[in-house]
Amino acid sequence: MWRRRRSIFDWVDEFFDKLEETLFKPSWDVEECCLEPLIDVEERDEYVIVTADLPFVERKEDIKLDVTEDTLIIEANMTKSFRLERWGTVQRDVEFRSFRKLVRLPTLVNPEGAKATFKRGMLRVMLPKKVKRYTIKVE
Amino acid sequence: MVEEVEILELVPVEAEGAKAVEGLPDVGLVGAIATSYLVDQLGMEEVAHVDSELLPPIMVLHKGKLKNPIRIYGSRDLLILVSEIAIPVEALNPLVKALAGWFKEKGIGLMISLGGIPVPNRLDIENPAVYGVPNGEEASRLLMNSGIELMEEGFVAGAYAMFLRESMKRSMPAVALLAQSYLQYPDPGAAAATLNALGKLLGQVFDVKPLLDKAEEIRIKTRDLMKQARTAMMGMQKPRENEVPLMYT
Repeated sequence: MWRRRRSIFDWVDEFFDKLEETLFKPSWDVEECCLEPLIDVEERDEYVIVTADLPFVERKEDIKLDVTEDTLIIEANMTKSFRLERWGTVQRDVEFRSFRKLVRLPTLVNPEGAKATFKRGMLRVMLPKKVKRYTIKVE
Repeated sequence: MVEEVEILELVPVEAEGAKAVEGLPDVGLVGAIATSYLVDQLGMEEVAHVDSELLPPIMVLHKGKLKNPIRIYGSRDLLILVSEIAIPVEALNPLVKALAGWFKEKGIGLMISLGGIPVPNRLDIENPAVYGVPNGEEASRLLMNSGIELMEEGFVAGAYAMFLRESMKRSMPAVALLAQSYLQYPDPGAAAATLNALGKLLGQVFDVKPLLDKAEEIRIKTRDLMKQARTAMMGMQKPRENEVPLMYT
């Protein structure tokens, strides 16, 4: 399995993303009225597979995906807005209406080959890895 | 000597011969969702909570009242352990030992863990199957008499594995009811399946329709707990559950 060599800057970016996510960044945004969906990123031999749980999203037409070689942005509108009236402080006044998440991919992918499916609230995006593959003959 | 984990009773708890159900946050939050729903559905009162310096410095507010995040609800016949935080792996053994000891002291007749078994094709499964893991002959008979299929070979890891072990050491029958579920995502459908199996075991029917009706809301509300549980699960060697044991026969 070939991996793109990661630069020190990739490691630093990833470290601070995780630190921010763990320590500082809530999974909601009161200005944009959006929630961050739960996602999973799995790297396989030929693909990177990103799945996302999108409750209250019913139609694939409500989902927008933007992909580059190393990022995937997931945006989705909920059919029904969501609000918890007694929760926290500022967030209790917000009706959340959408999901948004920027996903940093573990390796470079080919955006043109990406495919996505949506079933029972679960989004699945398959991103072919940008690798050159050679066959080695065993003598 | 100060105990590492204390179970603090809010009222005197008498539970001789009762059943105890636990659903600490784990795969798909199946047990956590099932136990919190059951407490609400049965209108149970809090009877005790867990205190320990091994746990993160977190308290929770409900209806303006401050509560410990790990609590026990009870009636004469049933005790239910609920946790609103993922258990750090370093706290798991002392926590489960203390709880198993307390349940034994109270005379619990059967310890029941509710949880999930991750399956890769969960999206294609309409009605998740539930499997039982017994900790001995008596527990095995209970599962078979209830029509619950037993898991026969494999590894089990995490809180429910510890409850099975600690109950066995204390000669207390224990079972785990595990539903096919998502690994990384909250799974109210799997939680409902475990409650149906629990009903068969206890000879009663739990109404799971309200749980399924609120599935999407539950999936949103439990996102952060699921993230915590994911981190905790890695420390519990959950991936070992995919392996074949050496002495498979």
